[in-house]
Formats: sequence, C-alpha cells, structure tokens
Amino acid sequence: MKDLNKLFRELQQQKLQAVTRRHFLKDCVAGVGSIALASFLASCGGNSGSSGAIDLNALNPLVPKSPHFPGKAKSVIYLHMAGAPSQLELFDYKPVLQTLHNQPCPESLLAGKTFAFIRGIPKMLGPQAAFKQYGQSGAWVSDHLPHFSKVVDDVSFLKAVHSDQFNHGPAQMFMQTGSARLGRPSIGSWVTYGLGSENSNLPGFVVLTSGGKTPDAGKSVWGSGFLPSVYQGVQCRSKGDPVIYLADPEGMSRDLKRHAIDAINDVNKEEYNTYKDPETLSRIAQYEMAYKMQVAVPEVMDISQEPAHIHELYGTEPGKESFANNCLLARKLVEQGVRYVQLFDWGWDSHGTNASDSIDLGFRNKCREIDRPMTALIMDLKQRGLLDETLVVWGGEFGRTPMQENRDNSDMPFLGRDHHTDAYTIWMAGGGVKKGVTYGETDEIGFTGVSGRSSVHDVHATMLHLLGFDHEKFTYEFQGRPFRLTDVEGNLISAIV
Amino acid sequence: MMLFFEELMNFTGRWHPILVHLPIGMLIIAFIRALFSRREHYKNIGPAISLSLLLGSIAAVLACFTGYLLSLQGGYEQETLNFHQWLGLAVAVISLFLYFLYKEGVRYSFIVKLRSYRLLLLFVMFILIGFTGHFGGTLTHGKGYFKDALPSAIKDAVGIEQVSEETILLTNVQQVQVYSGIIQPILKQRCESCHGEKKKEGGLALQDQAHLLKGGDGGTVLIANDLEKSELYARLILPEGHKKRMPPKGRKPITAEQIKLIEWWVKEGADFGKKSSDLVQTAEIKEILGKLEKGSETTSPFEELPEAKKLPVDFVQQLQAKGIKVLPIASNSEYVAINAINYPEFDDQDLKDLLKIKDNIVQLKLGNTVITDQGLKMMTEFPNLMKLHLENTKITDVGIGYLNGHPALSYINLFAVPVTDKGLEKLNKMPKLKQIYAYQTKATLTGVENLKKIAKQVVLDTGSYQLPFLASDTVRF
Repeated sequence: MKDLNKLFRELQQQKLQAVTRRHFLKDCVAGVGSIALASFLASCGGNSGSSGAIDLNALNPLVPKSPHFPGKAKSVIYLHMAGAPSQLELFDYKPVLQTLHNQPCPESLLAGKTFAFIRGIPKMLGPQAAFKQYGQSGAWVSDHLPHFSKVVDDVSFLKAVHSDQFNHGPAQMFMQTGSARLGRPSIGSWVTYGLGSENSNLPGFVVLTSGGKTPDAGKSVWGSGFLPSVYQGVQCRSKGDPVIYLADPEGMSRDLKRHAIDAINDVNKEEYNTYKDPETLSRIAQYEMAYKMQVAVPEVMDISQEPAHIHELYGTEPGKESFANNCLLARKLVEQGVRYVQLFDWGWDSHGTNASDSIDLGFRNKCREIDRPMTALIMDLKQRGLLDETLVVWGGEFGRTPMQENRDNSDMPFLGRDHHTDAYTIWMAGGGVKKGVTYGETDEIGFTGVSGRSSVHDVHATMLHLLGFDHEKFTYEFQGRPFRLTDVEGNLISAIV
Repeated sequence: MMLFFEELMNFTGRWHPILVHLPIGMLIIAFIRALFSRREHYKNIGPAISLSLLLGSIAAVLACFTGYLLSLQGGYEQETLNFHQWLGLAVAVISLFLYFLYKEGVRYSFIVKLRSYRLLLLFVMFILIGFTGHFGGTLTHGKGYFKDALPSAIKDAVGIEQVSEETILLTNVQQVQVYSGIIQPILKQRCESCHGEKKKEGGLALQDQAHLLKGGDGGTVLIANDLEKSELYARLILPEGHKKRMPPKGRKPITAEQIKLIEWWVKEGADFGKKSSDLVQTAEIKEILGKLEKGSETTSPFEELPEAKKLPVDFVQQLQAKGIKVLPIASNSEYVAINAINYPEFDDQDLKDLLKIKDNIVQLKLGNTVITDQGLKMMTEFPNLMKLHLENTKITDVGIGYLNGHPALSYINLFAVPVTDKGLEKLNKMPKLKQIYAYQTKATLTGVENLKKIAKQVVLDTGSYQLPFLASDTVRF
C-alpha cells in the first residue's frame, strides 16, 4: 500500500512538473482570447478545459486533406540519383565541349569558383557519349539511355537547374528539404502534411533505397523536421520483411494484438486530453497504422505475384534489392494510394578514382541499371491511367563539371568529373507536367545556365503547384514564424506546367 | 537660415507619431479615474483627475503642433488628414476645457453650471480620441491595416474576401499593350500601396499614366530610354539595405523578372501605347514574357466548374465513417472526389446513396469494388462527374453502354475490366470524353480505329507496352 501511494505521489509530481509557468501563461492567453473570440464566433469554444472523447478520425494527422486549389498531381514518385549523375553524358549535349577536349580550362572560368576536388588548372573533358534527338519534341538523349529515349515525349526537362551546395550531404538535404542544414521537413513530409494519405492502411510517405544503402545525408533527407514525426518517410526494404519488426512475434494472435493496441491508445488519448501534445496523436496514429500495415504492407510489397510481362518490362528479379524492384514497388504503392514514394539510388559519384566511379565505365553500368526500370515505370503508370495524377521526378543533388577531375592537382587513373552546382538536368513527367518541353539552356560547354535557370526552390515550388499548393502560403508555424518548403524563395517554373 | 528653420520644422514634425501617445494615455487615465472616483471606495483619486487632464491637454496641444508640422511635409491623403486634424484639435480644446471643469476652486458661473455634465463631456472626448487615433493610423498604415491581418479563419467566418497576390497571367502576351497589360499591373502589385490614391509617399502616385508622368516631389521619375535617370527603375536596383531602395525594407520585394520587364519597357522608350510585339525583345525578355502567358494546359479541368451546392456535413461524415473517402478537390471547394480504396465492399446501393450529393461529385474512384453493370445506369445522374475509375471491377460491355451520353465524363479507367471493342464503340455520344484506359481488357487495336472514327479527340490506351531486349542491356563495362 505504501508503495502504491508512492507511485501515486510520483505521478502527481510528474504531472505538476509538466505544467510549467509557460503553460499557465499560455492557458491564460488562450482563455482570454477564447472569451473574446466566443463573443463573435458563437460556435467556437475555448480549447483549454474542454474534455471528453477525442474523435480519432478527425484528429488522425494522416486523414486525407485538400490542397489550396485543385491539383493535377495526387501522388509523387521521386527518383533521386544520389551521388549526382553527369548531365553531360545523359541529356545536356555539348558538341563544343568535344572540340575543347583535353585543353586546359581557361582561368577566367575558374575565377571565384570553389570545387570539391579540382585544384589548379584542370583539363576540359568532352562528352563521353553519343547523342541523338528523339521523339516529336526532339529531346537530346545519349546512347547510355536507349530505352528512355522512347518516352521523351512524355517528359519535360529542366536543363539549367542550379544548387548552392557542392558536397553530397548538404546538397541532398537542400534538394530534399529546401535547406542544406538539418531540421527542415523533406518534400514528402510537407506533401503528406498537406494532403494526408488516401489509403488508411498504408503509410503516406514511403522510402525505398537501392540495396538498402542510405544516402550521404542520412535519414534526415526523408525526415519530418519540425513537422509532427508522423509525416516522416517510412523506409521499406525490398528484401526480407519490408518493414522490420512489423510481423507479430510467434504466439501473438491478431486479436490479442488488437486488445493491446486498444489499451495503449486509451492511455495515450488520456495523455492527449491532458497535455494536447500533437506527438501523442502521432503515436496513436502510428499504432493504428502499424496494426493495419501488418496486413497491407506485405501484400503491396510483394512483387513476386506480378505477371511475367511486368517483370520483363521492368527487368525485376523478386527477392533482389535493386532500383528496378523499387521502381515496380513505387508503381504498386502509388496504385494503392500512397502519396509520396521516394527512391534513392546510389553510385553516381563519378570522380574517376576507380573503374566503378569512372565516367566511361562504372557510370555506363549505372545507366544500364536505371534505363529500363525508369522507362518501364513511366510506361506502366501510363497504361494504368495513373501517370495523369502521378508526378515522376528524376534528378541528382547537383551536376558534374565540364572539366575532368584532377584530384588535388594530380592525374587521375580514370575519367571523371567533379561536383558542379551551376547547372544540371532534372526531368519530370506526369502529374500535370507539360509533355516534351525542354526548359533552360546552358552555355556551350555546359558550365552554367544562360537562360531558364531554375533553382532548387523553383523545382520545389513547381512540385507543390502541381499538387495544388501555393508554395508561398503552404506554411507551418514553428518557433514563432511560419516556415515554407521554399523558405523565402522559389518561383513557379510555368514553362513546364 | 530659412533652410535651417525648414529643416527644424521637418525634424519637429517627425516627433508627432511619438508625442501623440502621451495625450492618449493621460486623457484616458483621466477618464478612467473620473469613472472610478464616483464610487466611495475610490473617492480619493478624484483630485488627480484635473492634473491628468492638465498634462494631457498640454501634450495634446504639443501633438497638434507637431502634427501640423508633419502634415506640411505632404504625402498624406487629404480627406483622412482633415478628419484627423480637426478631431485632434477638438480633443485638445475639449481636454483643456475639461481641466477647468474638474479643477477645484474655479468660480466662473458658466463653468460651475456645466460641472454636472463634465463626465459626459469626458466620455465624448474619450470617443473622439478613438476616432482621431483611427484616422491617424489610417494615414500611416493605409486603409484595411487591421482587416488584412485578421486570421483567415475569422475572415472566412465574417465573410471578408481574401485578396491573394497572384501572378498576372495573359492569354496572348505578344498582343498586349506593354504599359497597361504588363507594367501597370506590376506597379499596382508592388508600389501602389504607398504610391497610389490612398497614400502618396514622396508625392508620387503611380496608379495611371498621368500620375506616373507627373512624378513625385523630386521631379519626374520616368525618362524614356534613360535607365539611370528614371528613378522608377534606378531605385529598384539599388543594393539591398540602401535607404532609397524600392520597395523599402519590410515590404514585399519586387521580383527580378518584374524589374527586367520595367527595365525593358523604359529602355525601349517607355511608350504607353505600344504592344509587346512592337518592342525589341531579347531572348531573356522573350522567356519572361512567355512565363506571363497562360499555358493552354495550365488550368486543371476542375477549375472551370460553376458554384456547387453545399455539401451536407452529416452525410459526408457517414460516408467517411464507412471508410469511403470524400475529398474536396480544393480547400474552398464543394466539389469532391470519392475514393473507395479502403472500402472494397462498395456496391450499387452505395452508389445510389451518393446520388444525394450527385452535383458535387467530379471524380469516382471505384477500382477493386463490387459495383455492377446495373449500377452504372446511375452514372448519367452525376452531371459533373469527369473522372471514373473502374479498374479491376466486373463491368462488362452492357455497363459501358450505360455511360454513353454522359455530358461531362472525360476520363474512364477500365484497366483489367472484361470489356470488348463492342462496348467501347457504344460510347459514340460523349462530348467531353478524352481518355480511355483499357490495358488488360479485350479491347483491340482495330477497336481503337473504330472508336477514333466516332470520336477524334479520344485517346484510347490499351497499354501492353514492352521494352524490347537490347544487346547492350547486359553489357558490363
């Protein structure tokens, strides 16, 4: 009995500790404010003091929501090529660069620029691929992507995207969260925060990484930053259990699990009624989601049931961890109403320090690995009538230099290019993006954009626009000011929407 | 010496916004004291009233004086200024008069007679202070300063329309008059809140050609072909933080593209009549102009819908509770998309229930449900339905036939539905139909040909795309 009293006392103390002077002041303000509000908003009651059961359906943070205006895209599949593929060997054809091959780079070009590894005077490196124009739009594609060249008329290219970060980690953060520093929500988090999830049995934001390798920037690239953590990306594995520890332990029946979750949720609801902490709602929603996911996820993540012609189309092999499998999974997830699917592929950092990261060898193997699956993804979405409402984005975190890398001013064993922030290519397809547009142009050697330059913020603004959001009004209050994905920048790239 | 006095007056005038707060505070405290002193408990504060009034009225006189000096500098809307000025003077005079009414020992008979009304007069003064302050605020901050900043939830509740800033989009950018179609809207968006009808900072107003040409206190701001002397442009490109830079710090900045457009217009002669196509355009300008043009595909098909009926909240909640998702297509829209993704039991009866909100539905996602051909009979009763998803259902040619004649339907998804060419050919009276997805159906390419004859605008996608194996696929470098 004595022990029990002690427990109660401890609980009491804990509760008192949780109520700080700050809470008191906040309650005062809310109270006075709500009295004033109530006088002319008869229907609006005060927040503090109200109790009773919470309507889980209304409070579930993942309940589907509407955007500012009717968006054309309902889902997004973002194919991020971590390491940054060379635009000069894929889409940005520069014949003049070929004629300058092996000549020293003019110093005027290097003045005031910082590179990750290039020191001294590097030599120019001509395109290590043959280019041709394809489709009615006449888009330039290299022979490294023979399959992709067939769908260019469904795609719009942004050829003069620029970043301001020349290291992978910060640049990936910038590309995925709009800030090179930690702490901001990723695009997928913003989108699920804004639109919720249409399928209540699956997470709204799924992350798939080729071979399970995490990008340089770590898991923050799909983090929720200051948004409630329920909006962070859920990483699924394409081999073994898709979500680890999701399966019930042996001997645990589904009924027992249900009872356990109900009990936990009751306690959590009580907690929420006391403290009104949104993270408690996240927790309740996550328990519910996990319970439903136990059935839904293994089903949607199983590609072995797909017909043979689909496997042929994507080049998938069930049980392997590959970009191809992830592309097929992305289609399946979007088909099931998942809002945002983020794919990360890796191995695109073609410096030329060894064969696998050289621009003329390893890079071409990487192209083989993505060419068929990403083309198949577009075709498959199209034939299922999904491309209309699914935005597909492809790109790295920056581009690569027209100069050959000379790491620390020395000769390299293989051909390679250094990190380059001034110009790189991103393409988008579906979800209301115009078809066959090429926007932006780089100079004769592909060093910098001369027209139609788009910043990373512009890309984000455009993605949000396609989903129905005005990026300047899509905000979240944090630390006393409203935050945006595009912070204080970003313009809609109206040429492609 | 004259100049010195002028500058001194100028300087003194600028103290007005600070000084005004003294009479406001003091006179209001006098009013409050007068109210309280009527009660026995607070009687002892009575004698303090007259002192507050004296100090307050002196401060009011000072505020009037500085205010007058400030008004000489100009740039204020005259009508509001008049109200503010006379009300302010009235407050000063009344407060001084009240001082005598409250001061002990004044024996003039007319003052003694008026003493019983002094609280009423004090109240009148209190109200006048409020009005004076309001007009003063309007002068410095412009009209609608508070209204604009109301939380949007309250605006919605009270019914104040929200003005959103948008890019001005034109249908044919080359055929529009550069000044009236492009430049003026930019000036309106970025400058007129301070340089317009309501407020003329620096004497400059930019709402029309006449005012723009007239310029401000410092003379003309626009000289054709001369970017450096045209302050309209030159002030825009001053470095950030420069005190003459426009729009000033804290205001919404003008975009780089808008500056380019103004530069282009001034450089090309600042003509008020010419069209875009009359002026020389660099590649850059062409591109910026292109962005102003309304793309043919920019509008969502849902955007041109008329006003919809209000959604019945209870009914929507019933549907949601069942697991049927009811999603407004935009946050302020009454049009909804229905999604049965978590409710595969959706059947004809559920569809019948949806007739309650038939005018509101623009999209029906009924893939993987148990809806039947008979159910599709109801589809023509949904007048605004544009997108219909029936993938993986048991619909046959019979059901497809019922869709014929639908006035709004533009997208039908029949992926993995047992329909044939015969069924699709029935769709010969579909004025809006554009896309049919028929992957993994029995529809064939010849069927597509037939359908094309009936409706040219229809794109039928039977899918089954393949990527042939290439020798290069397996090469490893």
